[in-house]
Amino acid sequence: MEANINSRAERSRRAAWAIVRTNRSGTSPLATALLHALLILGAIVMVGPFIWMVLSSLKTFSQVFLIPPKWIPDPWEWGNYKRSWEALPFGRAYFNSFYIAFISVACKLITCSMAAYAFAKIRFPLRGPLFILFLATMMVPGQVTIIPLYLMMKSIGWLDTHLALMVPAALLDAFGVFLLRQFIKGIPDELEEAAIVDGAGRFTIYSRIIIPLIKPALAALAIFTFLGMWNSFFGPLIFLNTPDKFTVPLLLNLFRGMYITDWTLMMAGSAIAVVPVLIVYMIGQRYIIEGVTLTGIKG
Amino acid sequence: MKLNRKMPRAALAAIMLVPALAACSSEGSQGGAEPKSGEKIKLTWSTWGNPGELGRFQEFTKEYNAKHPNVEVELIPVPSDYEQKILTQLSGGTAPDIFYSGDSTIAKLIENGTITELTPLMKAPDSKIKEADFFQGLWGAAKTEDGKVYGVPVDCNPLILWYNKKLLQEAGVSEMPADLFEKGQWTWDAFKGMLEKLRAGGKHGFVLDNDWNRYYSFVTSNGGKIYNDQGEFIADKDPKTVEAYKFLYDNMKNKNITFAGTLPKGQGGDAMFMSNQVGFVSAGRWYLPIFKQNKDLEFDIVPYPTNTGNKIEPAGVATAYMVMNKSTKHPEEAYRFLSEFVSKEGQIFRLQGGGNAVPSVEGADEVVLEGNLPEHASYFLDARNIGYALTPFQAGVPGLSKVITDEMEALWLKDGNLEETLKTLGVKANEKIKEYKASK
Amino acid sequence: MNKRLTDSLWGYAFILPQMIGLIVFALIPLVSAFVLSFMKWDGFGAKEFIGLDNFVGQFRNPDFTLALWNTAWYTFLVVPVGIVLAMLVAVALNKVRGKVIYRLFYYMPVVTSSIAVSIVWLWLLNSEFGIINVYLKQWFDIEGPDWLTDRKMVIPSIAMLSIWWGLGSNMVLFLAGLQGISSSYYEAAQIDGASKFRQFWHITLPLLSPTTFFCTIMSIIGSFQVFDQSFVMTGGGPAKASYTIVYHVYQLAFVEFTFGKSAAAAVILFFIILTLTLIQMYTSKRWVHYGG
Repeated sequence: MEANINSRAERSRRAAWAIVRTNRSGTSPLATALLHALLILGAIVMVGPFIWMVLSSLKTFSQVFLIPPKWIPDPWEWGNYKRSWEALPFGRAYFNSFYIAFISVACKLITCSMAAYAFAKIRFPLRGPLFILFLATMMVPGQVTIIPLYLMMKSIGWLDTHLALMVPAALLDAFGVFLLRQFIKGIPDELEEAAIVDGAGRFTIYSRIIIPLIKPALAALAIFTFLGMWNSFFGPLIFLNTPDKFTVPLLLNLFRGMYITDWTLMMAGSAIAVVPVLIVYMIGQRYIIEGVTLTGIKG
Repeated sequence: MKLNRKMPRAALAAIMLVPALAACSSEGSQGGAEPKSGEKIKLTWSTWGNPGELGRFQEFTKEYNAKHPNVEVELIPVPSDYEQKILTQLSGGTAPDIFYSGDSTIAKLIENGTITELTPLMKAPDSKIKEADFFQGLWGAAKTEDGKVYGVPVDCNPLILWYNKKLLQEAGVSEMPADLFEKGQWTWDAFKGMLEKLRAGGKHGFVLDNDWNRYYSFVTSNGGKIYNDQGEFIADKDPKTVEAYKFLYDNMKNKNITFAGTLPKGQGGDAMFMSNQVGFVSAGRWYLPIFKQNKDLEFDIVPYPTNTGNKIEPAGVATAYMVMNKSTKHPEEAYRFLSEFVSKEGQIFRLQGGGNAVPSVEGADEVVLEGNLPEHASYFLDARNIGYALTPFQAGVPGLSKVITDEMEALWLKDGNLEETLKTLGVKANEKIKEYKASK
Repeated sequence: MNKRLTDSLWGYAFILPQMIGLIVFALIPLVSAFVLSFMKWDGFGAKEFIGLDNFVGQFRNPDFTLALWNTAWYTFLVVPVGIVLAMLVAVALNKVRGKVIYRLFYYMPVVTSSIAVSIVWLWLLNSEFGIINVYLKQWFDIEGPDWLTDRKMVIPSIAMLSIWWGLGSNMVLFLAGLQGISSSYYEAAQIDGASKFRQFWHITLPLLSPTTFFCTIMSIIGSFQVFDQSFVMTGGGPAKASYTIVYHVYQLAFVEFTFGKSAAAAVILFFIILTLTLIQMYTSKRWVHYGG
């Protein structure tokens, strides 16, 4: 009974107190509200075009580019998704895209982290110039290297195979090497020295100490690489011939016709293609959120 | 002449066999290319296109394979960046046996000798196609100055004007363009009048795309010329041409004509047309499939308005050519596929049921007239019969088209000065031509 | 065994897989491209050695200098704004409530296919019918600028698009970097009474510097090679106002069939990027702090 009579007063008392008092992390609720307002505005800008794309994928062709623009489809063409999927061999392409990306990412994480460790922590002759050489490979546009690369793939016999896409991806990623090197450089030398004192070899240090400590960076790299391989278009375009071997971006581009493009089907296809990457992103996010506990290092 | 008549049949037969023998021996000399009996000859061919178009191509390929059990032709679609892929493949020697070539790429292919000359093949008695079957204006850059043919137009798309009947009626236009055309009164003035009426009603009159086709069609509808017989760019000097550009310019200034600008490529004019925002757009037959889907859209077509007093003048035609890879291992079979693809039967097969192009060969006009959509579909044929494909003067100089479209873009977008722009264009274009000729 | 020697051997062993990839798939094509820049080649016939002609030709070519200027201006807009925004967003999304949802939204642009992105933005930015200008007029009665058709606006518009697109990627990197900063620093600072801003300036920024360094270098390398946006959206226009160096490289090769000139332009680009990167690496010692 007492609780009933006093509850309203109690609630208002608590509410008033909450407004005045700052929260645990030391920010006033006003500042937090402002922050969220800004973030939401930003999020709308970020997501807006994507929403337009998804809505357009549900329109009839003539409604996509109306003037003035029409956001809500009328009628809702859910059939576009089915038609888009059936228009081209997407099932096969998804399988191709997926396994190419998966294998490339797995191999890449290993080779990049190895090289990054060496560049960050091991002294060997020519380390500096070799690192610059790695960076240099990113400074030349693909248009210029495509023909020599094509001829090379032809002579190896990898034309129209997925190897032409996976092997270069697995064995060369200056971006990944550079990224992981930055993170590994941030690991204090004392950790290694302690391990060496305990009798650990280079490889053990690499696998038992370094790798666990750069999980966020590995997760980030995995996200990036998966996305890169998934959306990769130019390489597959030039190297693959048989439609059975095509990857998803190739099929999406096929919606572009000789004179006109079927935008609704292309957008539907693009919307579907986003899903696997988002899944990888959300999984990778976990590792970045969990973070790394560097206990006992600061001191 | 007399000798020909007396030439014995046997000799004639022997001469016919020579190419076949040559093909056999060259195959044999390439070591192992000669298929054993029972083994099929494999050919590949490439083009670009969306799933609908590719579906048709696949059907054709399948039927061809069924009809010719000794070959197996495979279609390799190229999703985009067609030129880059084909050129890379040609460089690497892995290009398909037969493939599509755009109207500007073919000049380069002829020059560096990567495609086969088709004239002798077409002259052979058993060739399914003859040079004369095709409309003369469509050869464009596929035929060299000395009459050698290197590519055959697979079909074509003559440019005409699509107009929105409902919009025109609402704007107070009493006689539709097609009716005026029938009476021989479809002039620039009539056109301009309609644009003004549309404008007064708050709609757009005409959307102009930044493409050689659209500009030159207006130029030739006034009897003007872009290139003289020596291949020099004379658009800035020919008075009729300047007049045509002035017509476009003036109407741009008073907003009768809207520049397509950077509307999504290939999605500017038709989007506006379908939303009943613009009265006229210029295109080939390719809009038909999508306009058809829109049940409320009332449309029809009419050729370009003329300023010469003639009912109709030549206008541009968009086309693509089918070419044969010179280093193909099976030239005879490759040619057979090519010829059947572009033959009358081949085009009817590909274009029937509401296709998006117009036959480039004689005798197939029924595919355009079937279904009576649009009402005056015969105008496509009229335009095609006297139209012209991209001239080798322009197609043959790489990069020249871009110089022209860049300058024009500047003119329309920045309210530039017409005289200055044309003069600069004349200088730049001729420079490019000279530079190219010098580098050869 | 000699430590120097074992270290060297281990070093080479660890970089071996990537080195193989480097030599086979990057170095060989790169060297071919370099060699090609001294030749005259139309893609099919024989190659002809012409020394430095291509290079001289490029510097004399107004298209090339225009492309250089456009690209530099574009990079100048994209890199600072993009990095700062990404960092701020990452800091905000490191601790705030609902960060999982936010992070998803901010990453959406990155996962959308580039054709879809280009088409959507082409439509958004259209001067007459684009959603942005239509709403500006409807809600605020402002005449929106000619985003993609005004020579002065086109590069800033494309830069805006690139920043929008790349924000998610850089954000992910900064988030990863933020995880490596031990919270004990912040706790200590809070005890000492430091404001949020001071914490950010004196703890976050310095400890994030390895990531910032990485993002800056990668951003510059990437921005100098911008191509897709202007190719798909504006065709390098209007009147070459968005003509970039890589567009020029593409044009010279696949439209004009002058592969030697194309390679020369690419080589010049390469040296520009390399110089900028080296400068950044040498000056990095002053502001990049490694070590947790």
